[in-house]
Amino acid sequence: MKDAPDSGTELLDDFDRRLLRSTALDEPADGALERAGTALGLASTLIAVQAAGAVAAATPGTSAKGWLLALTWKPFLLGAGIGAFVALGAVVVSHVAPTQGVRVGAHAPPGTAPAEPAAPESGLRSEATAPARSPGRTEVALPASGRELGRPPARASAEEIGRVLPDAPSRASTSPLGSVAAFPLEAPAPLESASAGPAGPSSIAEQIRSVDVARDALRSGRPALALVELEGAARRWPDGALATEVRVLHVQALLALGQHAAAVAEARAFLATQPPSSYAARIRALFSADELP
Amino acid sequence: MDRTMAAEESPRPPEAPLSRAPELTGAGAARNERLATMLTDHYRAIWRAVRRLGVPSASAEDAAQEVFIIASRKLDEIVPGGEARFLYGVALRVAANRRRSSALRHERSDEAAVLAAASSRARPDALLEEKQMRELLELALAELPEDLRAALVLFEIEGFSEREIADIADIPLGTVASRLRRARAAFHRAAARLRALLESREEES
Repeated sequence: MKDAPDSGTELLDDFDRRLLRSTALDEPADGALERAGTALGLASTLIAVQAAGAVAAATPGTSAKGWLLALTWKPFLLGAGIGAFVALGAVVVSHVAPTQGVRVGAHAPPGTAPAEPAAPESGLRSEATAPARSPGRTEVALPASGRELGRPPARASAEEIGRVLPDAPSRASTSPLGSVAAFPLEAPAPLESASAGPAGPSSIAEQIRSVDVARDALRSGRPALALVELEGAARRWPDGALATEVRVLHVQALLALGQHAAAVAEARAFLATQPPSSYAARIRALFSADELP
Repeated sequence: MDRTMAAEESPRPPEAPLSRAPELTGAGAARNERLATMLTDHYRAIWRAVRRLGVPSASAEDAAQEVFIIASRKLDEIVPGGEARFLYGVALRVAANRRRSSALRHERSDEAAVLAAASSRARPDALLEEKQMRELLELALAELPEDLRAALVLFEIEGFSEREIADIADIPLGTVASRLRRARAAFHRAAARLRALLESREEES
């Protein structure tokens, strides 16, 4: 949290903040992460960790370590690559590291029909991604967050979960991504604010992370996870700096989930309200010409 | 260079036969697992951070990789939960070294080109494309002294608290606060100057 009065904050105007936010969509080249993993001698472990990050916590008590070992070795020993993970089952449990917390998701190989349940209902959100600013606190990482962050995975205290997701348990139980493991909660520490608001400077970083999570999920063949993240982002920051990007990714996620009609409807709604832009061009590129006005 | 050195640290041969897989349970496996998790969780953020800290795009991947290679050598010093702060601390040093040795001047010399491209755009929604905004951001950040730039990036973009920045940059909390104030003022001046230049170009065209 910002622990001193921001006496200088007002020095930044809207243009300054737009400039700062523009960092959000800057990305390393494809494969950069994997190249770094190779440089570190981690190629197989990295793939295992990435796969493990995509798995559900649906069966607490499973030997997480065992899964990771299996994930780490099997594909390589069998020379099968990522595709081999499919054979391990769509839903496995993994403990990755103490800092990882619980992750929820399903894994499907890129480029195939999603081996995931149907898209979440629109009411489903994984918006409890507000990062707590107190490192060292024992916290719970919530699903669909905590990947590629500028800090340890997003966490939320009991209080925060209650505030942001008042009906989290019941929603979680109906999640198509599998049930969310019980939150081993502790006394909540004071939070900066779970509702930093669309304009708060800290929300820029949160929005970036949210979009990162969604893009990673899409890229790695986990559109349902992406959808949950994007719907959470859309609700938290309806007028956020990345709202348009979120909408475009949302259409992509719907398509990836096979929900073509919903994707077309959303694309049309988007084009009806947005002026011509690179975003509109991206939307159009997803469909054939006769599907859109 | 570093890539091959790091690759040698792999504790197990890739051609290990099936029956020998279980030896993965050793300290080497736990170490690899931790590193891979750090990489997965923080690589993109660190890449972005080194870019915003002034490393040119052409060498950002190399710089980000260097951060993790350094982290791998000091893994035992990183407290659990402190991975992000450690990585950003290393990123600050790596970026500073690279800025000194390379292309700061070259980056700044692109100002005219950036402004020309930005002002020549048709802007149906009166918004610059993200890429152009980012180029302007580069120019504005480049006008800040290194220490102010780091404070601004860590606070305003990466979302760290002042206390966390003090920890990352290994400076007193009061210094962070004062740098942030100066950084905001300097950034605002730089952005205003660029905006004025942009607007004057648009009027001309």
